[in-house]
Amino acid sequence: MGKQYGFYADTSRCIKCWACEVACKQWNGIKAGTIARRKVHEIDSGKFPTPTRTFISMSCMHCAEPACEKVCPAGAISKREEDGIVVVDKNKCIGCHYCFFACPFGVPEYTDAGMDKCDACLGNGVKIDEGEMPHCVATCPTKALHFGPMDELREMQSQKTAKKVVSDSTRPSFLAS
Amino acid sequence: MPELQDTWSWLPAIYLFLGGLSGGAFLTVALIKLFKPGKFKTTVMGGMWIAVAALAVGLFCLIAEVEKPFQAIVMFQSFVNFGSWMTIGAWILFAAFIVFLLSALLATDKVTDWLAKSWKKLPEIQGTLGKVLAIIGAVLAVCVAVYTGILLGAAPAIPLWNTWLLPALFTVSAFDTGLAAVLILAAFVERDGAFAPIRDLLEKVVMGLVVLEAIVLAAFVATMQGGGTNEAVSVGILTSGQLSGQFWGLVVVVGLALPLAAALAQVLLSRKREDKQVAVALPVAGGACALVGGFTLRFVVLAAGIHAALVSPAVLQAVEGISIFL
Ligand code: SF4
Ligand code: SF4
Repeated sequence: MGKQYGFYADTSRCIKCWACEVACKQWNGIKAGTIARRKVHEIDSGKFPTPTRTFISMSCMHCAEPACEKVCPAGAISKREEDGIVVVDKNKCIGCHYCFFACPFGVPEYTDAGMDKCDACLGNGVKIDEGEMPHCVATCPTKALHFGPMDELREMQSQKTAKKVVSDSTRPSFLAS
Repeated sequence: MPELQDTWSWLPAIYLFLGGLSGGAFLTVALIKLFKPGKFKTTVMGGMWIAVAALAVGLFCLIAEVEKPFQAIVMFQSFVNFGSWMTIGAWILFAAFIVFLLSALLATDKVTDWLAKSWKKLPEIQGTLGKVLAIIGAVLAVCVAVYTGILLGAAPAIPLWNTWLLPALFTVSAFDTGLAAVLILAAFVERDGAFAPIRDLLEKVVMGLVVLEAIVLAAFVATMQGGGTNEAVSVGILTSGQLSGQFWGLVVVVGLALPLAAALAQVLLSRKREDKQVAVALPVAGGACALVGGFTLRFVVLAAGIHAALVSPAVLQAVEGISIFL
């Protein structure tokens, strides 16, 4: 197998401007008020008088062992050999929603065309093998969101305080700090 | 208060119920056919048709749930990933439907009389063929019953479903509801004394199944309560939350306690009577209660199956040590 690509979110830089969410919707032609492949979550921790708010942008984590792929009866979900990106063939998808019940992060959402989730912008023409970035990453004004081979992301993350992604049964390709 | 699961509507609950009932009913009449060959033909035939009809309606509900039903029924295209339980289940259901249908047709005199006109050998082989179909069908019936539980049990992100106790629970309930349907039918069609010993035996089986189901249900609830926050929150919806009325009232009292009482009453009453006959009302009432309980069980388990990422604030954590509000 080739390299495993993934995302890295640096919460110390994210300002919750939603630029990644908006860029994602725009470039992937997602109608307003429907689904969101990428979501910026807010984390509230600490108690009064020192509450902290942290923001983290998340999407499909292109797991090393994707639970969604395993349960899909139609074989509509596959993990690409070359970059480890998990993609959906909407023509094959029958819309049974079973993948939502399998993904630990509840990522799969559904449109009339079938299951919909992040494909690292492969579907809209971004050439990640040539070093191009998915539009969310390219748009992020604060450089809080990164994309690339996991070893490079790990290198970047090691400069910061790493946060562990809790559900690791599927070995998500996602790092946070 | 946690929101109920709404990715799947109530249609799959109907399938889970009818699929189980179909398997249970076929198994019951197949056993009657194999151990009492040539007897109680109306009940055997009726039970097989119940199995066929229940499975047909159940499958219809299941297919109606997916977004692209017409694509889904092209099975050799849509059910190809044999690493998925849904694929295995779909083909089991398909095979079971065919075998149940053939068995039912073969058990129907009108059909066999008509067939025998052009297929001269049929009367000779009919007995053996019926037996073979009953055996294969009985095995498939068990698979169909078990699979109703596996469909949910194989969903790893739903804490309430992801346990082998769920297939166990649904399987016992499937046998219970299928048997109830056959006993209701038999109460109307088997009015002579010949069926009395079978009825007596089957009512004892009902009692055994109800007790077993109560034990499995208790184990399921206890495991969930002790399992962690996600599990406890989900099962709390059943035991003390939004669905507790349905759970305690319809599943436990109507679905377990009343059928047990009805079966016990029949066994005791028939002892007192020479002809071993009992009023129609008892088996019908007991059976109807079992069916209501069986359906409600599927409904509440389906509705309370909240996704781990949504179930409780503690699990709205994707990143360790901090909670995320979606
Ligand atoms: S995050 Fe979910 S949808 Fe994405 S690859 Fe992993 S299991 Fe599949
Ligand atoms: S909804 Fe589509 S992609 Fe998801 S499991 Fe069903 S067929 Fe596969």
